[in-house]
Amino acid sequence: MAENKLYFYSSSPHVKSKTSTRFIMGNVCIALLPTLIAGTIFFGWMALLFVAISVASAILSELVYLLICKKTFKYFMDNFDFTSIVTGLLVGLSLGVNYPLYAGAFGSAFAIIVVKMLFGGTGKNIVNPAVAGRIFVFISFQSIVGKWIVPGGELITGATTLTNLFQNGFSGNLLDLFLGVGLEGCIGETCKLALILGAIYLAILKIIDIRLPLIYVAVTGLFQTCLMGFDFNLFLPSILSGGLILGAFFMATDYVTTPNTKIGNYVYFVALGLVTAGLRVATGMEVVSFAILLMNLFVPLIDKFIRPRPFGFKKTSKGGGK
Amino acid sequence: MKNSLKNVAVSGVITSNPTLKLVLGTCPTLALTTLAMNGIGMGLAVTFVLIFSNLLVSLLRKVIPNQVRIPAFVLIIATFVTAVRILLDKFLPVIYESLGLYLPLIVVNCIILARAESFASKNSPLWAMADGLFMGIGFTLALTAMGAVRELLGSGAIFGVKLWDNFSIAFFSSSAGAFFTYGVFIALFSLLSSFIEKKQKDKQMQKLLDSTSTSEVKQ
Amino acid sequence: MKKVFSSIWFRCISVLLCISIIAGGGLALLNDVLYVSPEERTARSIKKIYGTVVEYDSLLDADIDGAEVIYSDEMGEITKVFRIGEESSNSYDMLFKSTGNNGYKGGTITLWVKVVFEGTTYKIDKVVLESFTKQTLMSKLDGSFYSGFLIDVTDAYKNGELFSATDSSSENYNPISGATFSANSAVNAVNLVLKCINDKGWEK
Repeated sequence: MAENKLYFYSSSPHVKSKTSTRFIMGNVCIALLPTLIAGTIFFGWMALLFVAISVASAILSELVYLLICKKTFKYFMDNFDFTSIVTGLLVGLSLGVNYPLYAGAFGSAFAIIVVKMLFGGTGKNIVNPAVAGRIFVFISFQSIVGKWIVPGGELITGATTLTNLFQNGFSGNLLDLFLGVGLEGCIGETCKLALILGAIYLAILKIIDIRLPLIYVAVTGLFQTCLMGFDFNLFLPSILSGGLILGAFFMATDYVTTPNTKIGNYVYFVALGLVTAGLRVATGMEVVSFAILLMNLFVPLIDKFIRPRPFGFKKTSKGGGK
Repeated sequence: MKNSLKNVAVSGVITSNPTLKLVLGTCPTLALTTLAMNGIGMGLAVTFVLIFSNLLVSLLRKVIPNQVRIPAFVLIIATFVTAVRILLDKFLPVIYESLGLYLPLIVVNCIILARAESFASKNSPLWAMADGLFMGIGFTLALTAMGAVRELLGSGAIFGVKLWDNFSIAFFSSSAGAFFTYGVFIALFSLLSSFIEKKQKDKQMQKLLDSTSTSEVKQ
Repeated sequence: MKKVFSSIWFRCISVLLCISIIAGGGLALLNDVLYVSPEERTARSIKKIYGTVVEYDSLLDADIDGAEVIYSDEMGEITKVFRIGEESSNSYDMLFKSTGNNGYKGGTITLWVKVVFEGTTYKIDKVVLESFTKQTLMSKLDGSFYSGFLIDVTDAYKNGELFSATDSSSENYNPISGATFSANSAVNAVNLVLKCINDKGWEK
């Protein structure tokens, strides 16, 4: 039946019914499960606690906001699409286990209340709330702890693989980088295999178009190797390190903050790749979330110049006519 | 409109609060609210400049020709800002260092130029001074409140006294947090002032109803 | 002639000139009366370290002795050395204003280092940040970073073993993730002080 297929390049505003948004978001949650499991395996039960706190805080902040706006609890339950769960999950997976416990709570609350609810709720946020929450957490709680925890619990000081890449070049095992064994970093970022599995699941269900994040990742890698001296040995490490895979497949593909047209999307993701690689080389830090935030603000501009063709539009030749 | 001390005071601090209502002088607001003490220092400096420049502008308002009034005002303001700088450097070096670059920037602070243009050049010296004083008080209060909130959340201290040790959200100490806090304060302040206005309107309405009912009884 | 004097341009210019001259004169007077001399500024910096005003002897001061730095090296330069207390007595303090190179993007960090001499031993008692150039992550160098410098200077240090910001195995220092360059520059500043004490023979 035609209703089972999900088309997602339609012009906004999206006509949303409860089932379709819930279906999509529910599947995104399922797709993030392998990453959550991998994070728990590597970092222990604290990882699960962090993510749980983030998700709980996200749901609670949406409820509190609706109550302040004089809506009832029944309204909240009727209109609950799982977008807040997804936001909470993504913010929780961006934490490291050495952050304070309340970091996820504040990050999710900021993401939901300020970025989503204050601008009008689902479908009206100007930037991706998970990205904003991730940046909030990154800015606010980094100073308390400047160190990362290696899986297994030992606290080491020093740079993550990405910052090492800029200073010393890549010296580790590529397979380790892929599987996330023994690496330090955020809960959700270290095991790339789990992330890719989730992305493939979403692609099979046609919830995301797999070409676009792949373009993003490829352009980032290419541009970064070019900027760092055309050393193509660095291509794979630069793709696999930092938050690129998580950001590309789960955060940059949010429906509300991507352009409406196919060409617009290609332009958007290529620009994302260039901006990420450029900022990475210029600052030596992890910039995926900042790049996504920046490009989210350019999406209305892209939409203004690359307009969708109205249904049935035929291009008339110049000076034509009978 | 007749000036009364109550009018001037209320307008300076509440109804026309320069920071939270007129949204003037946002540059020092955003930059210097990282610490509550900075807020007080900046507020004092601006109040001093406001009072004396308003006084001088008001005294000279019949003498300055209309065509050069802006350059003349800026000259007068700059004089007093330099005077404040010299005084602070000698007597309160701590505040002088904490204000840093923003002390000479008071010259182009929109609040002072706006009050000189719109109030001091049209009123007598005493009222001009009073207006300067209350505008300065409003500015100081707003800045101190914002500074206290940002310092409390950003580093767990207030006025330099550390209240708790491990909890701090560095977002509020950053520039992004400055804009965010400013926006939240403007929203809360307009909520507060709309409540106050609604109460005043209700009182007026009540008075009107009472007076019409008594006049009917009289007839 | 009267027309010129009552024209609008003349009045404008004369008003502006009058204001400038009177204001300028007043400010010049105020400046003279409330002048802050370089000695007073130095006393203020020292007061920041000690908390109160103390008597000091200026051994070498780049601002006063001429534009030369006192002691320089590839690690940085020392621009002021003050001694608090009598040289003849057994215990006195020395205060160094030291600038360390090799910070982030080639910038520098300037520190005040207070060294307390007791008899034949000396120790670093206090390290206070004065200023920095081009560093961006100074907030990561917090109190615990600077307190790592406060050690008794043992013989090993006298023999040239200095602080290191990147060696995680030594007991001297915990490397700071993300601010290694700034930490490097601060460490250079303190090492320069130790080297200067050694070279100039100020330890007894």
